[in-house]
Amino acid sequence: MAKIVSFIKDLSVKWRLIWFVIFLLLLVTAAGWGGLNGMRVANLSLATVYTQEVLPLKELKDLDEIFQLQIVAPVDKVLFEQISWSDCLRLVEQGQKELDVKWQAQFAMAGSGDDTWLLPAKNLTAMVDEAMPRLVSMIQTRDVTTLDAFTDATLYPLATEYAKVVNQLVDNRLQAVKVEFESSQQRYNLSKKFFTITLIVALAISVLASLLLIRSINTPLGKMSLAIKAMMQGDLTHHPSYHRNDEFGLLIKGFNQMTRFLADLVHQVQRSGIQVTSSITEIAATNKQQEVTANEHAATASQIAASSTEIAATAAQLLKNMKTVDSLTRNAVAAAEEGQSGLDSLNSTMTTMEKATGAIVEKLSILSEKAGNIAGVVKTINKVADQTNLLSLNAAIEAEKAGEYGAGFSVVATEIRRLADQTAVATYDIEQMVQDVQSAISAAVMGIDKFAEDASQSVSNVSETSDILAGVIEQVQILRPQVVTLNKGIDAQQVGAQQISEAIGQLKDAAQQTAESLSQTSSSISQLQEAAMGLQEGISRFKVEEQEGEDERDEEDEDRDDAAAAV
Amino acid sequence: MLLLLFEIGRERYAMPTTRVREIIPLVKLKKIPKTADYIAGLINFRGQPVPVVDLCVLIDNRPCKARLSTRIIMLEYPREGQSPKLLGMIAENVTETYKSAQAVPTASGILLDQKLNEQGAESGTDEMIQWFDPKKMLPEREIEHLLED
Repeated sequence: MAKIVSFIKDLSVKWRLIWFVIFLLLLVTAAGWGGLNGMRVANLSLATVYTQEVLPLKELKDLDEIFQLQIVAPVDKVLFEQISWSDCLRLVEQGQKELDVKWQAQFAMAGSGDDTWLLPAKNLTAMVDEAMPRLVSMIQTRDVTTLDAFTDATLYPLATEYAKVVNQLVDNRLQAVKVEFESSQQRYNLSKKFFTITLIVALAISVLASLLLIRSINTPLGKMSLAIKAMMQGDLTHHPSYHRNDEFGLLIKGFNQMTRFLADLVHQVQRSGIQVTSSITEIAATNKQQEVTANEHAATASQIAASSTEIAATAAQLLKNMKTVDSLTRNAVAAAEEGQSGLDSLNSTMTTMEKATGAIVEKLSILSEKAGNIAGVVKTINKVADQTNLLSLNAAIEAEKAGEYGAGFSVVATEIRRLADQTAVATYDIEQMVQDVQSAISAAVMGIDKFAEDASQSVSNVSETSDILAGVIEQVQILRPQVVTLNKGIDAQQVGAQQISEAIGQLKDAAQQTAESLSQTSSSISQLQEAAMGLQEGISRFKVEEQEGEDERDEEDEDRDDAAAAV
Repeated sequence: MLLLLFEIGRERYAMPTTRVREIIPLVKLKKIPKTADYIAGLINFRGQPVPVVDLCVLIDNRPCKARLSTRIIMLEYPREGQSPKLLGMIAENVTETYKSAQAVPTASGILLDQKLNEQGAESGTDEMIQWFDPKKMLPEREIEHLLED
């Protein structure tokens, strides 16, 4: 049983359909064969009835009629002298022959089956065969009296018997037909029952098989249609599972693989879309920068062009100036020579002045020393004044203690103190003055030092200037041929600047063209960006699993496939 | 009566000369350890050790400036039931005496002598002079403890 189930499960849909049709054909064939057989049996039975029961009935009827018409009736007619004897004999012999032939046929027909029902007929024919030769001889002798007696005694009872036997036989046959009919009825009922049961069973089996078949087709189809609906809505995560090795299994496996490939593709496209969008954004930014740079470039180029034009103009001006320079240099040489002799005399004067300042500084330092001495003396005077003040204070206090006697002394003490105070004030003034003198001297010393420094600096400067002037004279003399060369150079420069100006103009045009083409690029990049956004938007309809999870599932599926292959 | 004038910071003070033994220049002082800040130290006054108080520390929270006019006033400090004892007081600008008609100061201790004020106006310092009573201005208990025999 399990083997059968597994066999059915492993059957492909094609073979399942083929097997189902074969089964149905077998059923139909069996039913048709059964029906044909029943009909054949019925036909046979009908033929039997017709040949064995119905046909003999007519023969039997004929037998009775032949006996009555060709044997009894001529005898009667002869007796009543309605026909001739010879005609009578001819009719009787002819009738007897016909009867013999018919009975032989009857017996021959019954000879194959049960012939018990023919026993009375055999007895009758025996009786008729016994009576007939006597009748024929009587007719041949034309003996009316015996014939009349025989007719009354034998022929009429025989005729009656004949009719009776024939009726009996007909009844018998009818009975046989009835029996045959009943048996046929029974057979019909049996086969009806058999057919009904067979039909119900066949119907049940075919319904069950159909249901199974429908289910085996419908289930994967439903799964597939669900998956395809999900796919139509962009969900690529739906992987229907199906574990039969039939066409649907193949189809679903293929579908799963396809959706996985598609999901991979969509994932790839989504990622690529994002990358493309970001790249485009970067490109757009870069392009903008380039555009700006190009514009700047153009602006710079135009500036350069203006500058080079200016350079050309300046060069022309310079050329004009150089000619002036040439004449001026000659004058400069003469002036420099004059300057050099003037500077020599200045130098000697400066040296004298330097010596004089040294003497002044010496005098001033002596003065400063003297002022310091004065300050020392003043300090001493100040101390003395302080002591005097102290003394006068103590004297005043003592005088107060002496009372009346010390009054005069008190006045003296006050006077002394006043003198001391005045002295202190005077010394303070002197101190201030000495300090002023000292600061003035130091300021003077500093100023003279500065002057001396400046003077010596000037002396060295003058000699340096003299040297420089000598150098200048030399250089200017060398300069003249160089000025000529320079003139030529400036001429060339002017031409070069004009050429540069032209080239820069071309460069500017090129930069402007670049800027224009960059702005065109920018518009196409924005179109590209829109297209990428559209792509991303379109692809975002698809729902995709995470890449890692998908990989794992792929591996699992492969494992499962391997396992299935092994089984 | 004769008053001795001196200064502590920018304030002028006056005290009667009756209790002043002598005024001496600011000499070097022997420090007394573990005493209050205002006790400047000891001096040898004619073979006799005398404690000296710095009035600037006591009143103005800073030592007196080292000037020629900064001097030590040798005061005869009166004691209860005992003979007075010498106490040195360092003060600034101890250079002037003043003859006053007023013998006792006002209740607030401010000397408002007309002549002194005129003198002050002349010298350009329009100020009032504080009466200096040693008993009230100096911390009595500490000083008496310092002068104990």
